[in-house]
Amino acid sequence: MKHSLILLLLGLLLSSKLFASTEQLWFSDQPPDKSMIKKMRMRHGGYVHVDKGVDVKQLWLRRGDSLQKSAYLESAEGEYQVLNVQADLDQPEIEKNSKQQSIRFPMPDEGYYNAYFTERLVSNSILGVKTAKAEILKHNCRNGHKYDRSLVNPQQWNDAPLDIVRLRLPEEDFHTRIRSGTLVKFQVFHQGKPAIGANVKLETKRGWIKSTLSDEQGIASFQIIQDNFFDADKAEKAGKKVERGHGGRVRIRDGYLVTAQYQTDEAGVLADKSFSKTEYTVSSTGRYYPQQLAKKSSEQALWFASAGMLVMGVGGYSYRRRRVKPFKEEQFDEH
Amino acid sequence: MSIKSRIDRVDLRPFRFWFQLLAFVFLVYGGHLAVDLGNSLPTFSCGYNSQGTAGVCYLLPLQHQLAQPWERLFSPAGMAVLGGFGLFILWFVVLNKAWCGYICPLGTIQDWITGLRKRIGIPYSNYSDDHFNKLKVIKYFLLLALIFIPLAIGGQFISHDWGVPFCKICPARMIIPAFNGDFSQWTIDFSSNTKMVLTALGMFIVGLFLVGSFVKKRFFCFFCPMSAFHFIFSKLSILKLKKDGSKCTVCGDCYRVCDMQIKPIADDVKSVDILKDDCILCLKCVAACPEEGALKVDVLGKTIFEATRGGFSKRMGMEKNDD
Repeated sequence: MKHSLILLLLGLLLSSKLFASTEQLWFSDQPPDKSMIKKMRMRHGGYVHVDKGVDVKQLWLRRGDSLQKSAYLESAEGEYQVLNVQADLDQPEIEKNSKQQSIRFPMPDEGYYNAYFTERLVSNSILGVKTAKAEILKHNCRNGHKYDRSLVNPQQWNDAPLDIVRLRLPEEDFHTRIRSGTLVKFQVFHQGKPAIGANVKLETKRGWIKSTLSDEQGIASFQIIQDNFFDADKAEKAGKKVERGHGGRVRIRDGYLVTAQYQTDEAGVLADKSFSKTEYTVSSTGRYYPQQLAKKSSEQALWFASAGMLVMGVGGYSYRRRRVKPFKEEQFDEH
Repeated sequence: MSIKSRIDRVDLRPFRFWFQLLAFVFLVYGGHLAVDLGNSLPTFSCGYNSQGTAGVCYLLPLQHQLAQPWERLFSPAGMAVLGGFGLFILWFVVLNKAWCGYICPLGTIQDWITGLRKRIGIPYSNYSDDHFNKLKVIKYFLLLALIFIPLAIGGQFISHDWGVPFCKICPARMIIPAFNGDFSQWTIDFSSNTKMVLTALGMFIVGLFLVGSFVKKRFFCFFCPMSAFHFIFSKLSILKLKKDGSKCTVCGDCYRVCDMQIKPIADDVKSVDILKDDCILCLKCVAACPEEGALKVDVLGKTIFEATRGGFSKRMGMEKNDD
């Protein structure tokens, strides 16, 4: 009885270990301690610290498939890299004062920064190479909007074991948002070359999942679902507590986690453990918003403009009529 | 003939028409050529004309900045507000209210609508003196609202849905992007009651603007909070409109040509600095004045354009008859 209980516990432990190894590894810019947000500034690319006038991004490593419930990692063994706007590789600073594993790096220039964390583990004779990737925009409207348009283009790290790059939308700029209904394309690269047939999965915060295989250019496309976005007013009416930001603002948006998996027959030995296959995984996050015109009406707008024209037309005409002095003929008796 | 005499005899109407047209093209389409004059322009170069604009009207960033949380606004980080304001003043002191009469794209559109009315042959309207004096106060209320509503957002007294309140009702937000084929602002936003009311009011004002500027010259400028903001700082400008009352015969020509119906330009023979809060510094009054030196434009105390008999005769076409 005692032995069977130990075996059961061991089995559970092993299975949880196995399960954990299949879970995604990803970067989050949401601090585990929400009170930290008060000390941070909101920019187009999310929350940042400001150190001597320079935006500093902090990212936390999380493991799990759920954007909401994934655990923050307290330790992680692997390599960190940051690809800056000039496509140079930098080493981020590993945050020492945090209980959770996190990195910090400065973002002095306008454009996109890419952070990577790669871990390698051999399990069941398969080498698992997991990469967490975050693509962060640095843009401050104070710097103006006449920037070099090439800065909007995505960066690619050719030495990344597996990289996933969101291809830009037509006419995309630093203010462009991915909205419900948008066709979003991701290109998967294995060591700098398009990864054909990679399994790409997109999962939204609310649990909508779609999987597809990358084509001969390594591209996988997803049309973002028309989501049931959070309605703060409705939630409050239903008695739920809503965390409102500055000025009662509730940002209506949702997030997604996109993951690409790619397997090769690469064999070898890592830390005295041999493997016969290699499975690469890369995960990245993004945000999407409601359709711009979902809560807007042009028809009603034209009605209001027409009403304004009518009021002004009728009002202006009657104002003029009222001010016309009636003709009065003066007759003088000249006799 | 000296350069000064040539300037005094200039035909102001075509000069102003081409100047305004160039300024309009520059501000509304200059962004496509990567022109960027920053975010502190003292004129309605609308920031919602995102790709086309060559610079942004100061009222948009001002409202944004004032809506920051108070702990940030009244901290060293709030110095950015002063920086933006300083740039606004630097732009403003150069041209004073001529930003309205020569540069403002929304003002230019109103002048084009007036031109259309003249071609059709419909007479224009004027306010009665009583209505003029009552209505001219509105621009100061709008100025106060666009300062205090964002401050109230920053103090968390009202919702962020009130953000950039003046831009929500300003017709430039709808009309100027339309010149770049962008009608995305011609919508009512139903995402909250506040936004719905403000955007509906904005569209209603677009309707008032289109018909109003058809029947009344520079209809919107009369209510423009930027005009009120200009007037507060007009004394700082290097460009001044001056009057020599001793030379004025109170003939009223200046008043008759004034698009803004400013009566003191004719009646006031005591003030030297004759710029009034509704003035758009179009200088039509100077061009229409027949009295030598009665009205003039000074830059740093040096007269650059003044009323002359010769200039008046030339503009009235009397010179040819004399010949």
